[in-house]
Amino acid sequence: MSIIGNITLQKKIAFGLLLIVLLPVGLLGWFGVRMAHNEQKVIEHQLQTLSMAQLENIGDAIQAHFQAEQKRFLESATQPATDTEGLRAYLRSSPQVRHALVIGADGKRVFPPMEEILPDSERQFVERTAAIWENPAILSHSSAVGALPAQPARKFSSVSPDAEQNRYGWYAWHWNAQLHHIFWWRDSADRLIGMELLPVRMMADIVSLLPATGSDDDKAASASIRLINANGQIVYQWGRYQPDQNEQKLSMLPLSHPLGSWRLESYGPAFKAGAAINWFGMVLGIFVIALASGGLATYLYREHTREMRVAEQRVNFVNQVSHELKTPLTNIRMYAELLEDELADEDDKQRKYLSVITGESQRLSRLIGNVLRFASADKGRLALHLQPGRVDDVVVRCIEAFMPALKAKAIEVRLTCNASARVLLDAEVLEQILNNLISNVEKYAASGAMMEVSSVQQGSITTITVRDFGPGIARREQDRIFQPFYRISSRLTDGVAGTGIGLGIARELVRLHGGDLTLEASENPVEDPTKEGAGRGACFKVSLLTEPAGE
Amino acid sequence: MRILIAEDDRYIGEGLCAVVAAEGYAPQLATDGEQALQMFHSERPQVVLLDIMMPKRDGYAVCREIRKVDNDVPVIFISAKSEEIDRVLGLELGADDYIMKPFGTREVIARIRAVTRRYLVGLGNSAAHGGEPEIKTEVLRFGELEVYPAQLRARRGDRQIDLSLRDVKILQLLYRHRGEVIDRDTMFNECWGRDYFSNSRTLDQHISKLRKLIEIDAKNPDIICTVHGVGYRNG
Repeated sequence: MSIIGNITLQKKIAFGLLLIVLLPVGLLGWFGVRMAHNEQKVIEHQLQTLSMAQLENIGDAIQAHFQAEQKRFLESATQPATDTEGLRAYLRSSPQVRHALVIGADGKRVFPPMEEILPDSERQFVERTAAIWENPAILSHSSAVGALPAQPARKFSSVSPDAEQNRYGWYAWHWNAQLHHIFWWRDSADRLIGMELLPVRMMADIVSLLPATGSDDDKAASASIRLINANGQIVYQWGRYQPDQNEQKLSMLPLSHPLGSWRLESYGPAFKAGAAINWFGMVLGIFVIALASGGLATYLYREHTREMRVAEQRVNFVNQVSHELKTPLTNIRMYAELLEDELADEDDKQRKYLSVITGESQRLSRLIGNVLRFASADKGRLALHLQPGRVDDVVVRCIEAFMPALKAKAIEVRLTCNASARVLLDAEVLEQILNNLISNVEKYAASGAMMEVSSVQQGSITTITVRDFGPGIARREQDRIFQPFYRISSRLTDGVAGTGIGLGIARELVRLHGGDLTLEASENPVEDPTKEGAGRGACFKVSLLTEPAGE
Repeated sequence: MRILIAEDDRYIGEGLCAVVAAEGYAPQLATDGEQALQMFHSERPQVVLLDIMMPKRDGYAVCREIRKVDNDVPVIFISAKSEEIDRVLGLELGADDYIMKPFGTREVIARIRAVTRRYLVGLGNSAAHGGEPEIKTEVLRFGELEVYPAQLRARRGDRQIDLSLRDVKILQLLYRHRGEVIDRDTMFNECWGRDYFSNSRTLDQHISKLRKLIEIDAKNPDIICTVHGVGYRNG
């Protein structure tokens, strides 16, 4: 793990963790805003529904009041107090009725009487009811006229006059910017009798129906309801809440006939306060989650860097140990070779023993070389040491070094050298590549009893092929053999030692040298290399970039 | 030819000395950087082998000091770490070659022969130099075999044969005394040196190996013939 590689890796991980923290927090924030918005809408709607229900209750109460009045008039209509004096007496005694009118079956005014001079109040009554005298039919035909159904009506249910049952109804009209109401009915003599309600008394009756101001009910107290007349003036307002000049009303209910042009409006502070509390809660929640996930990410990051440090220490340790192994290994090999030089020709047994020491120390050297190359601290910036040389020299040298081991396993070597041009190459790297390939042949393909090595040069490309005639490599294994630590078979019965990094390193080195290491497709790839006689062998092709070197 | 070997590991140092001595060089061993510099100044070696990690002074520093007084002497670095070699090359210390641990004797021999060839060819080109009178540049002919002493090589037809410094010295001695018998002591003193500690088998073994290299049939030699009880003779 080089330092540069580490930094970028650390950065990548830090960036990833940051993303893991920020993304959910961001999403959470977004959803939170959406939810708060929705919740606000829901609360608003609930409040509207609630206040609407409240207004409807009030509207129903008002409607019921008029119905009660209507019922009372109809019951009193059976009393025949319809002569002038009787009516006047009734008017004087009645608290609700201001005036009355009677129109005969022939359409003539019966009361107030035509022939006598009327008192002021009756004269004013006649004046403000002039429209009725002109055309009494407007009572029953005007759209503003109608009988209320016996059952309490919903606000929108029509109370339009019934043409056949046109026996009674309410008539409302404006006079001097004031709303006046008349309840009329036809008696048994087909006379039309109308009773004008006293507006003040009517208002007082209506107000008495409204919810009491300053009740213990918080909801009612914190809201405010207004009764608005046809001119948009506030007739009456109750509730503690003081709405602003331009405040949006919670809900509005137009009243039904006979107060058709009036409406009820409701104001309330409720949903503004609710929304504010939600915002605070949401921000707090997101903050807490961000804090928690940030803490978790920091913890993970720390753990990771610690792991990395430990791993790096291990790699450094392996490096250190491998380097320390080199000096004793050099001595073993060098002294074995020195001893071999001292031997007389006839000391074959001793020569053989020494060749084992030499061969094994070479194997150990290759192993250390592979481990170091694999765990190299500078993998990213491994440099080639290009020097003029001949590819064939290196090939021959490698095979010579392996000869004792190959002989011991009865593997015959066929060598075809056609790469004798002086080129720029890193002999050490090439040696390590070939060592890995040849040692594989020695380890895994001894059953083929033959190894073919050939080299060819074409332009600045040198190709070296190492072919064995062992069990070969099954097609399904062919992609994986270059992966580190992958071994085709780790069965103990194979009795073959190895680390599984050789081919990976070889390919890495070949690529470092500007070429590639490939497993040539055999003519007849085997599916099961363990089967007897299935062996077709494996052929590895090394192609290297070798620029020609001047003499 | 004198070779200075600077190596703090005693066994590696002694082993290298044995390897180069067998090749025909006179090795001198230093076990730290300071000693290496002192010996360089007192012994004036023709080749220097320098370990990088050494007590007192590391190989880089020693090489720098050497280059201050001598720009030509070949310096071969010895190292266990490729990073150190990268640094050697990066510093442009004028290193001629390097050997990576763990190494075998053949590798050391190949490197030393290579720098020796460059050194001897350089000598031949500059006639004024009197550093190594033992090796001549003239071509020695033994029938089909041609020996090029300064290149430490011989040629038989198309076949090229690599020779050691000692092989060349033996062949030069035989060539100079063509037709004469050279007794064992004379050959030993000429080619190994008087102060070389060895047993009687050393000479026989070396001749035996040399025959395998240059003779057509080592069992029936006609370049280096044995004169029983006396020594050797060519022709």
